[in-house]
Amino acid sequence: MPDEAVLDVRPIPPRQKHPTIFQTFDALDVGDHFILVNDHDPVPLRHQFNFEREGQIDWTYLEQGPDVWRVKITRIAP
Amino acid sequence: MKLCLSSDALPDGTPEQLIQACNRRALHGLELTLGADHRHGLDETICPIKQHEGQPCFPEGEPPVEWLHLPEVSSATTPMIWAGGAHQLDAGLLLHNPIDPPLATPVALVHPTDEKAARDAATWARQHDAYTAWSIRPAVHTPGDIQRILDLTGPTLAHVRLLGGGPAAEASDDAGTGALMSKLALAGYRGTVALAPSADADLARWRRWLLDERGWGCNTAAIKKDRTQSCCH
Repeated sequence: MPDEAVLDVRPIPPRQKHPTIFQTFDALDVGDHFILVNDHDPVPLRHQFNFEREGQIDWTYLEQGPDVWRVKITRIAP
Repeated sequence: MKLCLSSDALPDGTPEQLIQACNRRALHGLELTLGADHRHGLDETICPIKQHEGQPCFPEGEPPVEWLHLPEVSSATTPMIWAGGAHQLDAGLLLHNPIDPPLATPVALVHPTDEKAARDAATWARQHDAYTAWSIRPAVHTPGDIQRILDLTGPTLAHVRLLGGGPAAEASDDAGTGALMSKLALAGYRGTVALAPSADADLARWRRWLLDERGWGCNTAAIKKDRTQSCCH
């Protein structure tokens, strides 16, 4: 996985954002990550990850607004 | 990946309005199209040095001008002249016709979502130590189309012109934009992605979206709205 995997979801149609994020996550190898860029705190997404990918994800905030949120999402288990 | 704004989305915008739009949407930088109908102050028919007597031709500072976009031209000297203007701005130059670099600034050859055009552009870029720029309307392409182009252009890709985003995306359900952004991310793409209108875009809508409105649309809110509407019908 390249060092800089940045997924900016802002221009993606709203109903496609979560599916896109999950597809990107599922394409990661264990140990790899991507940086999610969003215009608001993706709390519902985090809840969805905890439910649907329980134990597979590490979630680390890199930036928390006010205009942009950046979250490092790492796949820690298959 | 750095999200930018093309002046195509706000052709009647002054430099200050383009900067304001960038800042309101927290965008990284600007792509300025050179054309007489744009109000950003750069005119493709006037030599940039003569026009501004060597002074910077766009307000300095943030957000930066990442690219000057030169539409197709018949004169072979025009790109050379505007390479100087781009160099003044510390920007690159987007061209639609291949030339023989080197110029004073990075150059990227724009191609559509077409395998032959992408292959030719990538070949030119490798031969001249230059780059490619991909103009794509993701809503009309499949993930397979997108992957094929990425495979052809590889590390030459430095800029993507994302047609049909912005306000149109909020009302859309196309999966192409998501597929494009995901594949760029997984490829480790470090270049720029400029929001630009599609050919049939409502520019008045773009102006409101850039200068008056906030938010990009939330997946959770959209799903809730769908459920509310289906419940009530």
